[in-house]
Amino acid sequence: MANNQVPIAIWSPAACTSVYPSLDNIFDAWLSGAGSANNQCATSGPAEESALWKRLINSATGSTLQRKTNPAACGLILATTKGDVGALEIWIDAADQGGQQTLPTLMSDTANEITGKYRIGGPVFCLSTACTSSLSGLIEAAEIVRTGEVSTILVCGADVAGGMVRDGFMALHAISPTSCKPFDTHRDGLMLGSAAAACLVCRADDARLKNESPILLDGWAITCDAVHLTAPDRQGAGLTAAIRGALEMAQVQSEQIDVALMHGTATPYNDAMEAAAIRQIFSHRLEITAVKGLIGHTLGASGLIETLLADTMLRRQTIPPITGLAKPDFGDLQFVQGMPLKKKIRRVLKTASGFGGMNAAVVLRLQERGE
Amino acid sequence: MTDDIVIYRWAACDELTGSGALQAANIPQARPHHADIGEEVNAQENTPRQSSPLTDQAAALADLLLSDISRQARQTMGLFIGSVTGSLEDDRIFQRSRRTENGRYASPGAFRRTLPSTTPAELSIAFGLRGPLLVFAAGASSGLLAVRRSIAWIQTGRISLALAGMMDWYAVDIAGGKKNKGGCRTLLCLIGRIGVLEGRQWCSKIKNIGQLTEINKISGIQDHSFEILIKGLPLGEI
Repeated sequence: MANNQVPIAIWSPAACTSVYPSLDNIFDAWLSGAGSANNQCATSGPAEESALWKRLINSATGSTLQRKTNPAACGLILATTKGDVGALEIWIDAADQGGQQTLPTLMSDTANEITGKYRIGGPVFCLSTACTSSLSGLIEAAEIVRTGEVSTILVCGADVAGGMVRDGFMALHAISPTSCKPFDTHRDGLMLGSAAAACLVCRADDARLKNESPILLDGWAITCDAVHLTAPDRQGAGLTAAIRGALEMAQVQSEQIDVALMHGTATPYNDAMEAAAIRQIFSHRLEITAVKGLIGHTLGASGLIETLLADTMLRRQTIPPITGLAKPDFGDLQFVQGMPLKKKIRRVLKTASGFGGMNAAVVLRLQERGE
Repeated sequence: MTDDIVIYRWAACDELTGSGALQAANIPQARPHHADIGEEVNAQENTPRQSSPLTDQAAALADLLLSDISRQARQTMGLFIGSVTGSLEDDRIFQRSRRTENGRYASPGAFRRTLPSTTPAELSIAFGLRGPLLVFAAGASSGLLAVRRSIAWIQTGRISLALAGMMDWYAVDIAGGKKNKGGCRTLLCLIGRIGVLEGRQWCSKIKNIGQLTEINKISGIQDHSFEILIKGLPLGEI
């Protein structure tokens, strides 16, 4: 770490999907090589989608805040692509029938509910940067904490793959007609998922972490491709810049990264872009894994939920295989396939990319005892 | 802490409660130019034009602010935008397309725009901004929060220049207030450390626009976030 940087820690992680109730459940299913869980929103309408949104967020934030923290000194960042899409659909339909005249506050309302419920006294805001939302939210929390302006921030990433979202991705022909197969030769699209994830971000020297072994956020970066509204830069220039920025901030060489947990949506262009970015930076045997074959693309929640799975990976020193990968494309890369891989893991790279050409990358490390 | 951080220039347009006329400060060779971002994006994407009134307005302002800024300086420039309405109007357009034939004709072009980050991303594409892009929603303090966060990123040395402010598109039926005519409102500032834009004059120093928690506690209905941003920044008369 650079001298002027304060080590930042992630602790009290929690996550759930519409199928799996906890982070450990998700990780165990991922390890076991379970096939794709149907995490696509199975609700029957916008009211149920709105209820699912609240349930997922309550579960994740409630679990995270069980740990001892002073909410009065805690901030909140709610990261999501669009907020409560069920409520949004209801509002639009009512407005178009002339029944609504006031502006909805779909993201802020949820943030205010969490704030009121837990009596959070620090700054509260929502962040939306497409599918990088919650990884950007984590990075924003780290940026704020390291300046000392706020001691602890609760970061929550959430999204429900409701009817509006599903129809949109179907209109873009981005949904797989079969299953989600990241980095596979036969990959043919993504699978949507609904999830929420939460964690606390604070300084690593925080007294509350004295007897803990938190995961450290050593480096991070956010970049834009500035190329296309929905497709990634074919050469992966934006993602390459984000990874390089995160490595530089962490003051590590690319060889010091043991595992990359990639975005891996299983769309033809995204996975090829990620492969191009990896080739440009890593020349060593970097283990690559991805989880969307199991839980689907959880949109704005994906960056944080997958970062917290990387946290679990570091604690268990085990890399789960890419769910859905049978015949790897990009034969020069080292994908974890079939069985979990036990090995010494010191650092994990987590990336996310999204519509608008947004990219985010973080370098995670398990704090060593006595450090 | 913020003594050496300045607003180099700013531009604003308010169709909702103002006249819709452009207001700006310290614009070099001030010229009423309306960038056609749809054309810009179209040229790069080779897809049909899918823009919006908000994108057109924001692009016109960004063009004024960035016209003489080098490609190199734009490469790492941050984009920090507050928004109250997000992509609400585009969401409505897409939802209407879903209602046609039970969603069989849900418009892919409309869906691409259904994110609060869509218009900022279009600015990033049109002007080659490749630094961090963050879109904030915090009720009445959305715009001020975005500017405050851009200053923090500059202070910590993560970036040296940022385009920061807010943008919103209010349709007629949600505009509120007596005029109730609807429209777009955008305010963008080019913010950076003194000297980072060599040879360029700056228009005002940013002293202290408040701590995050203070900004967060600014009261007021969220429709007033534009006015709160103007009041909170050293813009002079507007």
